[in-house]
Amino acid sequence: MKYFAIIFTLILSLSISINAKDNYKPIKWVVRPSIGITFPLTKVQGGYITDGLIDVTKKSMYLQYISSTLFIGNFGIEFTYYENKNVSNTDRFNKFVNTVNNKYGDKYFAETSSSSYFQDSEYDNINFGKGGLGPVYKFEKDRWLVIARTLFGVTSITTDWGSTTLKGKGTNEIINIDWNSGKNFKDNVTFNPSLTIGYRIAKRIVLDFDLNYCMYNINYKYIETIKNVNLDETTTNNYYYSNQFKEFSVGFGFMFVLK
Amino acid sequence: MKIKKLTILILLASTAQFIVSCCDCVEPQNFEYTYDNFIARNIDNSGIDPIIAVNDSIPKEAYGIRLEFSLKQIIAQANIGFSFSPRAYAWDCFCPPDVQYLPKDTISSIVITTTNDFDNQHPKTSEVTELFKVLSQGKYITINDYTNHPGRIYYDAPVEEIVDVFLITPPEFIGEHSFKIDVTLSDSRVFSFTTKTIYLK
Repeated sequence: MKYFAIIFTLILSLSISINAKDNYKPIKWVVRPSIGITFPLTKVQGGYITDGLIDVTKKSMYLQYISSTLFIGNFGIEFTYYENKNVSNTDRFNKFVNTVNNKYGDKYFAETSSSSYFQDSEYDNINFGKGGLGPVYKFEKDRWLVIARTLFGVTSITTDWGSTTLKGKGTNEIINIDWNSGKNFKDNVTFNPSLTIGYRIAKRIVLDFDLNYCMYNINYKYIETIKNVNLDETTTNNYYYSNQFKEFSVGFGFMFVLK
Repeated sequence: MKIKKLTILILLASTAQFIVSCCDCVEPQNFEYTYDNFIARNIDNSGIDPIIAVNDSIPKEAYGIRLEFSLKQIIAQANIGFSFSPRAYAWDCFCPPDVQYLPKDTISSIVITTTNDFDNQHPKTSEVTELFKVLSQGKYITINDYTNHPGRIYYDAPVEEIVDVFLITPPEFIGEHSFKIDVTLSDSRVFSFTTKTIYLK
């Protein structure tokens, strides 16, 4: 019923606007919520056991809660914030457990835990958020509107910790291994050019189609700490991730013309 | 007027008692327990958890001994508090459990002696305690460190205490082995038990 009411309102607005006379003033201030899908163009892979603990490598849904643009003439400035929810990522913890078992399962029983277990829960599945600020330029002709942007900002990515206790098969050997990047969230400087094509369906409402390109450098170090409990010996390994990560998003939404 | 003042006074006293009752935890009733008896069993730690050995042979790298102490409750110290308002009406109080069981005596030492030739350095009747360790909170500690711990406090009537000691340095060669365990308590009592002979393969 709720969706029906929304669609009905949109159709009504559209029909009114089509019959209305095109005497729109140039837009000075808009806000733009939108929704869409993000496709990663590169993969974060160091070939390490920790690869699954950084997860920006899956297709995800993005929700742009707010985007506000102020124009002076055709130039303007925009602030935007959105979050990616990795809806196709509900079994990341199980995949990490399998990765550990594949590596150590021949000789050890592994009891593995990871913060990805909580990230997978339906209550906390935000994988990364993005915020940006930058110049924009608009073209307006009749009902049509095109906005080009070059935003700079940060992408905040969750990095999970992992740990396992390995119990030797047929032995008293016990080994504890921890993997940690030192931070739960890490901000990465992001370059985000994007394009929006809009069509005014009413004086203050614009239906828009969004194309987004995102580029940021991932620079992580995971520390693997291996403690042999029997010998009371500890060794550490560093796993470096230094990739330029690129992704492409398509989405749609509405602009609300405030001025 | 006097009735009004008296009513206010009673109300204030009740409120004060109600608030104070949050911090007015009743002292727990203390019982004491003592170590009553002791046996030792061979354990096989080949699997994910150690189990009592059912076969006559165990991989020497997965051998351990389970020390089973039976405990006996001996004394109850009555401790009855008085309060106008029951604790059930108080806000969220962080009070200790109503009953706790404290050790009357503790384990002073555990000595493990091999009854067969263990290896070249440890012939028959040698002490091999240092070759065994106790798994405590994810790490192996020496038996000496384990016995330095204060006795455990239980919040339910204790029946037994189980300590698994694992052979960290296995013998170089396979063969039959058994171990004599001497446990000395803080009250000078000594428990002794010799494990069944097991073939460490």
